Amino acid sequence: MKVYSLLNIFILLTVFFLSVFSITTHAANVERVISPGGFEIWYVREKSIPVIALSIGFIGGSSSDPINKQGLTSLALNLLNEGAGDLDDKQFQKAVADKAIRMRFRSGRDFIRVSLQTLSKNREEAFRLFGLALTKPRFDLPAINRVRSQLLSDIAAQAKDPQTLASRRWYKAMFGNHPYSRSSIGTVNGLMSISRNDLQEFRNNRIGKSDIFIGASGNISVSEISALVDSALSGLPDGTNNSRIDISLPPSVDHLEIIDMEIPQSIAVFGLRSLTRDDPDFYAAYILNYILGGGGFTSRLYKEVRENRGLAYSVYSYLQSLNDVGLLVGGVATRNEAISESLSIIKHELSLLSNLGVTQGELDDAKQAITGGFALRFGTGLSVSEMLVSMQVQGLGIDYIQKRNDYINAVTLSDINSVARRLLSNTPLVTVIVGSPKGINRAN
Amino acid sequence: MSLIKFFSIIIISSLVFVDFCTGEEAYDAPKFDLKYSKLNNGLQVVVVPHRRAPFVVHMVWYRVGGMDDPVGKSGLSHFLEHLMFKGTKDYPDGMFSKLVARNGGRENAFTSADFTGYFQRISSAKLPLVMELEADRMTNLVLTNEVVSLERSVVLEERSARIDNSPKAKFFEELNKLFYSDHPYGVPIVGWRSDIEGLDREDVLNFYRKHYTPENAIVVIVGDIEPEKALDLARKYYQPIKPKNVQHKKIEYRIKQPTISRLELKSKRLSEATIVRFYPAPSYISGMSNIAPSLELLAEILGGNITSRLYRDLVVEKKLATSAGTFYNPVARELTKFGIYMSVLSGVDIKVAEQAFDNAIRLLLENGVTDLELNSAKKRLIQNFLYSLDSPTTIANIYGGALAVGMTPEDIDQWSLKIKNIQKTDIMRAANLVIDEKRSVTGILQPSTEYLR
Repeated sequence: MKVYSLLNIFILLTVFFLSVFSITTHAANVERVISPGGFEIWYVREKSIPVIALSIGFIGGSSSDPINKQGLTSLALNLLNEGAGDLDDKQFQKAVADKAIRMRFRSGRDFIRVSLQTLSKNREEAFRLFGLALTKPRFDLPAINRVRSQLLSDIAAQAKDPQTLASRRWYKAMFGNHPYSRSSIGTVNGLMSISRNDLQEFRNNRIGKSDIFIGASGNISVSEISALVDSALSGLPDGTNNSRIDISLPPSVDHLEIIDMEIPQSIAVFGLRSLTRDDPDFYAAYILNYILGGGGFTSRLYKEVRENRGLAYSVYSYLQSLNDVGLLVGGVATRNEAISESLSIIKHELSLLSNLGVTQGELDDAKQAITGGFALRFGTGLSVSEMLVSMQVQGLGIDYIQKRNDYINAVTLSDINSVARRLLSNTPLVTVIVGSPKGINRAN
Repeated sequence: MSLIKFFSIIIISSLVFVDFCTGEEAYDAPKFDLKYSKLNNGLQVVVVPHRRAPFVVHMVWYRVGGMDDPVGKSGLSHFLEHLMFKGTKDYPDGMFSKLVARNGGRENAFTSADFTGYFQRISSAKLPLVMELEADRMTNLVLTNEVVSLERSVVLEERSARIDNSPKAKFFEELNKLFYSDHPYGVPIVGWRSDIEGLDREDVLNFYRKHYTPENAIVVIVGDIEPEKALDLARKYYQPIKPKNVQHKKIEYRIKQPTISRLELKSKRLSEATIVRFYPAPSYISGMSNIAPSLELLAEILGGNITSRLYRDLVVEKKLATSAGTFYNPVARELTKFGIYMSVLSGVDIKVAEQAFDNAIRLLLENGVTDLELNSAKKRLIQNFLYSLDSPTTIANIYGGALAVGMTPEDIDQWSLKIKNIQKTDIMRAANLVIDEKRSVTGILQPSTEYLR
């Protein structure tokens, strides 16, 4: 979890750009498998590579945490590899490390996503340990206290990190008191008030067989992956008591917030309510975002803010799909003296899109880029299994991989331009800046 | 961000594909149909087929990086990397990126102290296109003063984002400088701000002409393609480029005994303290390279993951830290460093923490490592390496990085065997050689107690 964080600083490899890659496809052959134990698994067999990946999505993420115990999901997930069944923390971690088994447990707002990667030859042991972690975590007190203090330390560090702080405050501004405003890691008070009993409740009531989506890829047969999944997950409880989260109301007016921090470069996060994943116009919005700020070195924001004016290293936008809400979120970082110029340009670009739309040439280029790049999403076993879970979570259908480029290609110029108007005209824009920005009217 | 992380992981855990075993169990032998060729103009080509999805990773690595920046012109390699996207006579005004995008490709580039790399991931059918584009920009870059000036602003923003906005990054920049003294690894890859501000078009073009030559480049192709076909394409597009026969002076770099061995800084933007120590250490191809595998194992035993000594001792048992570990990059052109760090739990006295840190290192030197620790570390390193079979990008980075620092495909083939053959005595010999406090530099970064609103 935290062990590797420092490495990023030591090995100072610099990259040209952090683009938000958003795309995928290759006509992978997806099989829908029902295991003898009753689990539905979407599976892609890849015989040539001796690695197995398993991904699982559970309905109910950090937004389901009780209001006074924010951080329950993150604490519980961070404890899953701290001892399970008969194995204490040290024994469990050694068993995992000796076979170089890779497990990840992450909480999002709506879903918990967990994954397992193993060399095929270690599969029995890997699935056994992974199953133990999910079904029989020990939640020993020393581990609870240690992991809690690590999370508290992360929270303290994040409060002083401009990027994380900007993002946190942006969600707060966008969602007010709705659970989506909370960050998955939790709060100091929430974490402090979580007991061992709460964690056991979490295990018994928050992840279960009824709320599960499974994707896998590997070089083993359908019957073998079924048996492995059964062996790992049969101990899960049948149902859960996750409650439905209320729909959140969008902000009614533009919102600008400045958080003062003594740093040379201001970090801004901006964005607005967009379309939900099941909206018929989703693909048009997707292409629109690609043209605006999703398309790496060719997007409008990249061109106007970075290439033509040298105002930023990083400027981007992306779509985020939550259960009942879609978001268009963007970011830019510019020296304090010029951040207002960057933000004016971005606002101008949003209004240009809304008023004039995109050109046929831009639409054609974007379609080619998006459809041509779909296959790149299937580079590793884990990326395949993650995609298979996302397809289920988002209700896309097992033939999505075959059909997805058709959905993109079906978008017309009039579709995308009407979506641009619908999305961008009169939709309140929420902006948060962390830094010492000059020339921003704070009265807004 | 993901890319950086990715690189640090592959470089730390390093190399290779194999069918060996550690001790008892044999591993599946991945059939690795690697093709290697050196063209007449000196350009090296590596092709590895990988069939999961119908695309290729195409990379061009130049054996030039931050360490080659002329004195007073730090950041030049990295600046050139940015400017390589600006255009040529045949493909002006960002056509490169437009063509890659329009053909469904993704691209990026990176600069390290040792090398500079450019890559595209794109449908296999489009490999000729990206080869043509990369071959073109190897010699035909066109730059105007205006373009250079705008991109300089971008790089200054990048420096702010990566370094100046982060007290931790600034601290490591200073500590690195102190540790390496006048060795070029002590200069930040992105460059000192005042140096970046002075870089101009002439600097960039002179540097480009000197270093961007076929004999200084490695092309790596990994993906869904017949190796012979990929080699033919490489010959077709890269062979016509004339070598320049630029003589690169071999400089003997040394890491001097430090005159100041301690750097302490405080920042109100931190919430926990960090203790870090650097020791000079050989890489796989610098002098004493035979101890590099031992150091990789030592790094793993001491601080490779949450089962390692430092984490168990300082985080779990003594409850003094939130994390602790080691770092060591053996894939480097020159002498490099072996590092040990701990992130001190808030509220713990820094002196108490440092004593425990020193004590853990002392115990290692006094008592050595156990058979259990060594065997477990060997298994982890070799099995972690086998995961690279899963990812064409990882394979490309392993071969590209190794060849760029002067290693060979055979070095990669033999890596697992080398790791497997290391004995406890080898580890101790390496530890005693490298873990020497007199040659080390220690950094202490602390939150200032000043009230932060």
